Amino acid sequence: MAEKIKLYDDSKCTACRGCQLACKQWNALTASQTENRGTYQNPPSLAPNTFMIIHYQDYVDGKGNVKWLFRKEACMHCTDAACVTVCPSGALHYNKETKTVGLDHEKCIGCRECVAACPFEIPRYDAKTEKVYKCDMCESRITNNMEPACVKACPTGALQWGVKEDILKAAARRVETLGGDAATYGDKYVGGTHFMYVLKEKPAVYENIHKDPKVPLSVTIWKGWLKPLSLLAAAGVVGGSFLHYILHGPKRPDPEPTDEKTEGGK
Amino acid sequence: MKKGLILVTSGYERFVHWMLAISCLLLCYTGLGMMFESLNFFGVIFGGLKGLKIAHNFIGLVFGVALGLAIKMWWKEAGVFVFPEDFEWFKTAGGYLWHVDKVAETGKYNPGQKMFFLTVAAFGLLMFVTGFFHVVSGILSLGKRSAALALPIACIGVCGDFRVFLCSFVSGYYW
Repeated sequence: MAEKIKLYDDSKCTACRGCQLACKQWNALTASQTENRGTYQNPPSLAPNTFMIIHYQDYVDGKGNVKWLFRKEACMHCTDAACVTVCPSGALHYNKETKTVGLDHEKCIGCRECVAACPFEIPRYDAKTEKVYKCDMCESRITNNMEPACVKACPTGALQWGVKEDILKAAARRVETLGGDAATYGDKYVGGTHFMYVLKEKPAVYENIHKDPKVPLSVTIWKGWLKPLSLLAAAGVVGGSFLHYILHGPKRPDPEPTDEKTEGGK
Repeated sequence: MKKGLILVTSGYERFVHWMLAISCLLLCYTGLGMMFESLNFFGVIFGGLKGLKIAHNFIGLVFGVALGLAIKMWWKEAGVFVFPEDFEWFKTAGGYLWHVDKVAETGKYNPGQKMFFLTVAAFGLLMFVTGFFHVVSGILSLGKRSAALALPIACIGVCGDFRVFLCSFVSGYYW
């Protein structure tokens, strides 16, 4: 199967939140008690039982016009995913077919390394189950030739699922059509993501968006460079010891000096 | 005590040394089980990788205590170089690397042993501190800033390996 990605077009989104509901339904996630905080955005943020949300934002543009900006926040499914790199148990993994980032809860040990490493602050830890949760791009659906639940539910075409090249082309065309400050977001970061946006304003305008997401340097250094080095060091221990043994062998103690000479400790 | 033998290390010294050694080896075992996915099966005897991780955290505490005691106990004998005697030893590399007729007399521990002790002390402390942040940042969910501190633990494992590498050479001569 070809590498596939998901596209969110905020200029087509009406923030009906059908995707939020479909996500909860397909993944059998519980609802949370909501609270009026003066915005339609609810739940307020991602949570162990909320894999995606639509952000609502009142935005005043340069001419003093008030606009509503929407943005779907969910796992971006990085091509070079920091979470997969740091995961000690292999719970976080690349889907072999679509290259999206799946999460196997059977394997998750709740160490929260992915929470610290994720450039988009996506994985959420649940203290009750001691495991981490995030969008897995509906792995159970996409591996069976269906689109993710959120895409299936979208009534306006703001969400699309398709072959990477086609989606990238469609996104570029859409940005051209929209003109102005419209831009794509996601395709340029962390080796390209498997979830990208077409935004009608400059990405920096959007609240809580990650302006320059990248794999943390510490992850690259420790896991990318020093981890392979440690294998080399380990091989050095075994190889070096063996080499020393065959070249020099064990050290035999020097013959004991005769008692006569050392008598009296002199 | 057998006649003609000299007591070099006290019972307390031997206890602390083995406490440090055993906890360190267990940390290596449990740490490798988490560091490499292909070694995840190390967790089997702990009832799974989660058990392995919990064991790793607690063994880390034992290691920290043992390290503190060891540093306190050996600092005067093995933590500070004494010149010029130790310099004389360095000039011949203690007779380890080439043939030397007479190796300089040093204190109870020679500078090679002192270097080894200092390496253990420095990297052990680094290991304990980074490991501490690793655990605490998870519990308190300190987020990104602590990650920079937490992740070096993997690298310290590398240094640990290197230490064992050095150690195997040194002890190779003793055996």
